[in-house]
Amino acid sequence: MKKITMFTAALWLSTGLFAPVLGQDNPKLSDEEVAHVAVVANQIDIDYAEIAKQKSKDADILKFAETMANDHKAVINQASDLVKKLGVTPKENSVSKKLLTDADQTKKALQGKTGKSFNKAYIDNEVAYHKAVINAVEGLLIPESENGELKALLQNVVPALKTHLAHAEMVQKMYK
Amino acid sequence: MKNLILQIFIIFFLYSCTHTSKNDSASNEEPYAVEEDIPAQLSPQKEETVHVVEIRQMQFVPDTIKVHKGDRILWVNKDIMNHDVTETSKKTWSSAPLKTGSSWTLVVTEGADYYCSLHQVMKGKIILQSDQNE
Ligand SMILES: [Cu+2]
Repeated sequence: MKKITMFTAALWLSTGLFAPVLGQDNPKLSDEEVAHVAVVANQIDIDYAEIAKQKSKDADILKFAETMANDHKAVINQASDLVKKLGVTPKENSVSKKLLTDADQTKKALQGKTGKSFNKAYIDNEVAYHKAVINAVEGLLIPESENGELKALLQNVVPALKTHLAHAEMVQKMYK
Repeated sequence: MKNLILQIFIIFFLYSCTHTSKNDSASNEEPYAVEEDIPAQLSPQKEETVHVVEIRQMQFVPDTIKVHKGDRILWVNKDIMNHDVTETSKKTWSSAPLKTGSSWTLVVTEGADYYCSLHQVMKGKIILQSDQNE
């Protein structure tokens, strides 16, 4: 089980190993599955933001987390509207499952930290997570989308993800 | 403190009324609406210029804008996320968070760098052009 997910999803989501070489291992996703991955990926960052709101007292971290929660909710709302309009039901798949199991581990790790070490762990993870999601959206979800509106929605999300990454990297510099 | 604000407000309000009636003694059916719509009455000799900056895909478009003193800039949020418009150096001015479709206006008194405080890497610039060659 673990080996299968390694081949399908993990490579796409780990920033280091992501490469076009992986053509033959590219998981085939239906639009229902692409939509599920998109919603799950956004929800995970909202969950991280909720943990930050509970655990951090740092103004910059809290403000960043607030922006993440709001923006990723906006993307989910847009995706939900589109999915309704298209009459598509998002469907669980190996990529979204892998995202969720990885996120569970990360959440546990974050829950175990406090104070400055929490702030650093949170923002480090935000940098890594946004890199991974950008790779997944550009390298997997957009090419796998068949419906033009779904593809356009994902393309529209990329600038936001890149802005979040740049913002996270800026905040990260304060916690070195 | 509240009293002070109230007093200032009343003084300003009274001043506005007299000010309006001097300028507009003939027809003042809606003096308050006029006052609200044209706060830049202090320079009535010039036509007002409004510059529009769109916020879309995490950018101020255009990100650099050249204006004259007294011009207005209207920021319109055409993105799906909330954004704001905040002066960089001392937060001299700032809009509230703007939802999709919302807009905010600034009457320009000086050049400034600005950014979105929600997405701190989003930046823009206002350059003041001189009026000397007019
Ligand atoms: Cu913004």
